[in-house]
Amino acid sequence: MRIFGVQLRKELRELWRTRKLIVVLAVLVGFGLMSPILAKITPDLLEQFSEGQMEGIVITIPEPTERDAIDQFLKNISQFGLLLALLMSFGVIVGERERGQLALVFPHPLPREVFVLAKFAALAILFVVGMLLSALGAYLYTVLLFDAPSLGGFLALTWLMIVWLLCLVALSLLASALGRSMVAAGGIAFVLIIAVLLASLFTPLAPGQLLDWGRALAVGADAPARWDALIVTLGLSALAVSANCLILRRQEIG
Amino acid sequence: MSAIIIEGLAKRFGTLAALAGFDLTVPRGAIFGFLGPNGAGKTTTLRIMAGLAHATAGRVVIEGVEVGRGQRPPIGYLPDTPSFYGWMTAREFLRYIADLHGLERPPIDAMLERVGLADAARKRIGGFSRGMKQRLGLAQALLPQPRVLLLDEPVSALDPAGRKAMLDIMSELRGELTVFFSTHILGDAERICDEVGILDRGRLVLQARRDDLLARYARPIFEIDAAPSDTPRLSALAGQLRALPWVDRVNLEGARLRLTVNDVDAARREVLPMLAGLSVSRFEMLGATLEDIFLGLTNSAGVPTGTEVAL
Repeated sequence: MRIFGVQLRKELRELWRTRKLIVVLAVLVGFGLMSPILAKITPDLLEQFSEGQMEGIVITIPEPTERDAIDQFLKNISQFGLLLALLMSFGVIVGERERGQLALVFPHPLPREVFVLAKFAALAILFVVGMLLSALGAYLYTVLLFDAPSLGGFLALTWLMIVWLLCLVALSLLASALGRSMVAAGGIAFVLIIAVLLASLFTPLAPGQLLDWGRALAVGADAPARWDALIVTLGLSALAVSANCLILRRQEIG
Repeated sequence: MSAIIIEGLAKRFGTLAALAGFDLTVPRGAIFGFLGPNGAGKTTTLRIMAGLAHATAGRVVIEGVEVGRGQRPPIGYLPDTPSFYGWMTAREFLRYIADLHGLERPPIDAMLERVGLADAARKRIGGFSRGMKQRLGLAQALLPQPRVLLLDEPVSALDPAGRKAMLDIMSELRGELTVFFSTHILGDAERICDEVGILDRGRLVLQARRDDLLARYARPIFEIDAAPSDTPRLSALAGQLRALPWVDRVNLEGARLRLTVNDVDAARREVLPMLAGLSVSRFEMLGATLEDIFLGLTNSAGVPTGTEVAL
């Protein structure tokens, strides 16, 4: 536990010093704040855009509501959050291995599973904090611009998005241990994430179902609870991290 | 008591046998030079010793702890090209290493002073030169006070000043701990090692104390340098020497006389008195160099001579 603390401190400090922390927080918070604003101004933008261009055609755009703000938030995070999860994770282990840093630190008393767990924990902290700040921004602007959505539902959506994002982080991190080069790791991470996204089309147990469930909770729509998908997502994340530990423990470094 | 015991160490990469299964024992407290040409298997051996690679067969025991069996041996390791976290300062990196080892009062400042990086303690490692990184690498390996220090080509890529500084630090460790270092610069090994092992194509072709080795392979050659004005007298001396039964060969080049003998004791006894009256600037019995021994044992040919040879 002491070594985990040392390693986690190092990882968090690295995120700060290399400005990755700022980038992730800025992107997530930025999209959190922008989502309700975009939902609010989209009808005006469309109206201005269509003025004088489509004479004789009348487009009726319904007045946006907090539902649109939530949908916009969900859409932005599911796209840019996914991209961030991929970019922040796929290179971290393979990068240190390629640069030779692992050959310097592994002969010290740093168990490889502790190394993996600290990497995942640091990224998890980063994304949890980023998502909570993002959700706070999105909620406040939604309340300012629309009617207040259910706080409980919005929080549930936020946490389900976090679980979904952390599953993608765990899979990308696994790819980082599997790949022999940055390019290979990026390719494996991309394939794993595409596989997870496609799984939502075929099974209600897929991690992607959490987003639909969260949306339903946030907007107060009728939808079945997807506890099974939540368990599968948590299990998949745990499996990815465990496999990562096992792979790195057996891997030759240098 | 042995600090390092290697038994039947073998490593295969697919069909390639990098290490063919060799035994090696390093006495405690020795500075051991692990010599061999590129591709001989030195780095593979060190990576196995440091727990970074797995042996196909055999085992390595360091200070009574078998590598790769759970318990960590008391080692410090410096890879051939140490790579650090460029965003850290030298002090921060050593603090991180000390924290991993659970050292409460690590001698970070003393260690930075020892490797000549005291002035760079608060500078980012990303801006360090190769030599500075190598010295910081040595500091991180020494910080937890290991009983065995493993160094992979610690001086090969350094400039002459950097190499001298590094070798001086390594020499100062004599008696403190066991140092096992690989190199292909034979002059460096000859300068600081107590004992050497020569690896060639994954096989240990020789292990011996350096002095025993040099004595065993000593060449019975004497060289005499005289003042240029003495060249005619030196020529006469060469004629006298050729007639002696313990002299095999005499070469005279300008004012330098080279004498190959078959009885070193007789030569030591009789040559000096014969030099009376000459203005001798040098009289030396040439010893064998590690380079000569190395080239002979590894059958390396066409290598230029000199005090150091990159093979």
